[in-house]
Amino acid sequence: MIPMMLLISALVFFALELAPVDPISYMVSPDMSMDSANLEALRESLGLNDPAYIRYFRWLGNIFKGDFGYSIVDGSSISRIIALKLPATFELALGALILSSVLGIALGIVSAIRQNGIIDYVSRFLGVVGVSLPQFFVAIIIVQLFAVKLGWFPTGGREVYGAVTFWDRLPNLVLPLVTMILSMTAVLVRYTRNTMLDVMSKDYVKTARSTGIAEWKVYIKHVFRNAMGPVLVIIVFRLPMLIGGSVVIESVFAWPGIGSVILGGVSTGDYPVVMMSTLMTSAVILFASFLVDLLTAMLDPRVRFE
Amino acid sequence: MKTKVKSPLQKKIEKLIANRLAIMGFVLVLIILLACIAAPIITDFDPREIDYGAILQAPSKEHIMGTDKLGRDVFSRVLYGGRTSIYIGVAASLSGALLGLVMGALAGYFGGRIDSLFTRLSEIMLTFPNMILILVLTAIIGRGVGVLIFIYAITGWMTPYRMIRSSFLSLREETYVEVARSFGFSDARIIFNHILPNTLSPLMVTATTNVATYILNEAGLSFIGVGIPIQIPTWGSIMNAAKSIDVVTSYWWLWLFPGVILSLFVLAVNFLGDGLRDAFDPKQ
Amino acid sequence: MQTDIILKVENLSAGFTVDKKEITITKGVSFEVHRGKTLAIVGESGCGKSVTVHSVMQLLPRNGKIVSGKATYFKDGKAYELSSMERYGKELRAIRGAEIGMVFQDPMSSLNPVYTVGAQVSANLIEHFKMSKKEARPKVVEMFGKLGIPDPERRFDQYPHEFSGGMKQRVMIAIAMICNPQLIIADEPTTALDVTIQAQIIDLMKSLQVEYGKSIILITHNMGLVAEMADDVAVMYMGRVVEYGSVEDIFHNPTHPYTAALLRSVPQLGMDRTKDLDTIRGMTPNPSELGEGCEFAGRCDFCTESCKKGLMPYNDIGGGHMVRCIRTEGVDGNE
Repeated sequence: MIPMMLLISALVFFALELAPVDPISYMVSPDMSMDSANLEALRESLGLNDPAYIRYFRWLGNIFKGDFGYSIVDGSSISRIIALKLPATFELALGALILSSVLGIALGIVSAIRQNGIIDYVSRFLGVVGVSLPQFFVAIIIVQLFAVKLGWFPTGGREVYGAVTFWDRLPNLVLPLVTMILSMTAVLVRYTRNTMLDVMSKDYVKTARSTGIAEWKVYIKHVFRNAMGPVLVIIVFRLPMLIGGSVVIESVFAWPGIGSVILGGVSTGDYPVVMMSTLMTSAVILFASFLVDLLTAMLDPRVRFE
Repeated sequence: MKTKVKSPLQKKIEKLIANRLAIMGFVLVLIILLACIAAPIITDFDPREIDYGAILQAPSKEHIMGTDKLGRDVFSRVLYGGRTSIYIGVAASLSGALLGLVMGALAGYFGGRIDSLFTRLSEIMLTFPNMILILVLTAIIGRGVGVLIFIYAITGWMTPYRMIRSSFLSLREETYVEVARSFGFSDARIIFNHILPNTLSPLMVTATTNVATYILNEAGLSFIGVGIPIQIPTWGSIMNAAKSIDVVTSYWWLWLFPGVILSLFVLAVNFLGDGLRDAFDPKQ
Repeated sequence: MQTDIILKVENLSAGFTVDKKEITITKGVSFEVHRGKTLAIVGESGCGKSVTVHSVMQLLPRNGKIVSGKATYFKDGKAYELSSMERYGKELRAIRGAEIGMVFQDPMSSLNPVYTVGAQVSANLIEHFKMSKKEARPKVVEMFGKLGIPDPERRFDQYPHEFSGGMKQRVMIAIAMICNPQLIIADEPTTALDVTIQAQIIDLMKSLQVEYGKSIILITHNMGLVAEMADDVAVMYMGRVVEYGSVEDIFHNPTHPYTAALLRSVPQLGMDRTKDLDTIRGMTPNPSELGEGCEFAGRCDFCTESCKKGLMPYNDIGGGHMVRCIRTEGVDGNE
């Protein structure tokens, strides 16, 4: 995880080097660099004339100290932007992850146990539909239906955290969450089902049955328990896609998250903001996958002993 | 008395044809594709011809899908836009598959340092949110059809790479490859004649479903306004108009028609891909 | 009357549904297992021996089922018709594991990798005797000791991947034996093991029979093993029992040409070195291409015109020695 993070940070740093911006503009707060006479002195004192690898480690050191630099567009502190926007994205992503996991795994289990039953056919069909419909199109339809026509939910936006109660913030969350869940659930139903079916054909499941234990125990203790590992891995694999997808969802629902920060940064050429947001987002994703690695090790004794 | 022995390929094709959803998907893909190709025959309207005398008209006999804010015929734009969308999807999928194929073949056959380098790289890129990477790259490289295909290729080679690499790793130990090696065949000949043909059918399945993925992704990017420039019609860039809420509420034909066609096409490709997977790659 | 019979299988046929087509694998299989005796079911791979015992226990995969016939288990003078019970219903579950234990072919894949072996053996006890985990533990440890697993107390808490193949098969036998069942069905228990380990496992199974008086159904393609262990033998070919009798009948008076051919293909100590081992000519036919007549006709040295038509008779040629062949005289195994 640590070497991975270093690699990504190096990629981000050198991408920033390639981008057409003067580093001084994002390294110091704009009011300090106003005076052009001081600029060269400042450049020297900041070591901007040093070789790239020295500057890379200094930049890295600053990040660890919490100094993420400044936006070149409006001069605001990037750490503040991220602290403000990242939680909004993870609120959405985490909510979607949990809900779609519960829903997807439950449906997947039922589909596998009742293979070729009605639920199986319906969820397999919806599974393909779920990954085929463009998220923004679904979002537009949902907004049109539930926000405009029925007026049950607001068309977009997010209530500030802490200012109002959770229940007041909930209506804003519902529509983006539903849109996000759709494709993720579809993927999980399908994967859970196929993994369950795969495990069901294993010899040890037959062994379990040959001892006369009840079918529900066979499914829970043997089939699902062994299918859980691969399913967890796929959930983590979907996490980057979930966050990536939030760019579109946040745009449609005017959700003030990191996706809209990146989108804004890309359209205004605010490279430092884009890079730091990307770095932080992947840090969180890496941390999540690290947690899942731990969990997998706990679930599978063969990994645990290595 | 003896029944005719069917070749494995024949059996696979029979299985595919027996899959009704896959055949429906195939037919639908074909219909939409042909309609897009034959756009000049089907409609007389130029997708870029602005007609201020006919802005924002609801569907009528003349404009069966209505007109947009600049009076352009939506039906014509959907057909011509489909050309670009499908082209991007197919080209991106093929170039990603090709890149993955080459890298996977090199890594899987030679192993060692190339293998660990490529594999490490693929792991990093898989943990990275793809969408964000694409956004950053469009910011640095620029926007356009060719650029987008290039970006998809360099961000989408990982899955084909992993598939090809792992089948190479296992096939390389197979007896027939060892026999070929002991005959003194060159590496290139072994790779092209003996290993590659055995890895192609799973790759084909993935490439098919990737066409759907890229078409969706392009549509999403163009919709939010960072994909294909708005001047070039694609299914996504046509729907860019629906970013404003009054278009969503008042001018439904501007987003519903392209959205439905886009969804149908992607759905059809996915059903076809599923059918191919069932027939050619039952393990997955 | 039938007190010495523990399992009776009559005309049992089982099949699978593949791509919406029903394929019958075993056809009209009949045999009896006597108390305290071993019945060996022999035949080449794919002949339906495994499907037969799986259908008796209704443990066929989801797309497989019993087509016709019945299997009856006898206990304390009562008959339990296994084939009419609900597949995973209570009645049948009470018999699986408790009355009839099973040992499978591949010990490598037959144990669940995520549970300790102790837990997996205990589960059977807990299920049938409503024991707690604590109560089950000493019984399992004791069974491990009996089955020759060294250091059983420590081994109890280990996972399958920490066991060798032979040790895993001992654990499988422990699972089958722990509830003290009267019948053990062993489906090629040694096929996946090294030769030296095979001998150990077979010795172990023999001692179980001698010491505890268990009945055993042994499925194998190894004629040597049959000679060593079996009391009765059922020879299967293409889903049918082609010859059935006592081990003496089969070895000293093989009557079906297939049985004779099987025996000739086994190397024997002291046989002529210069002589090649016999092989059975031709290939196993594809089940879907079988027409009328005897399934073995195409490979048989004694084949006549009448072998290619109609159903083969199933004759008793004396003392329960049954042969599915138009011939009734023995084939001299050594020519």
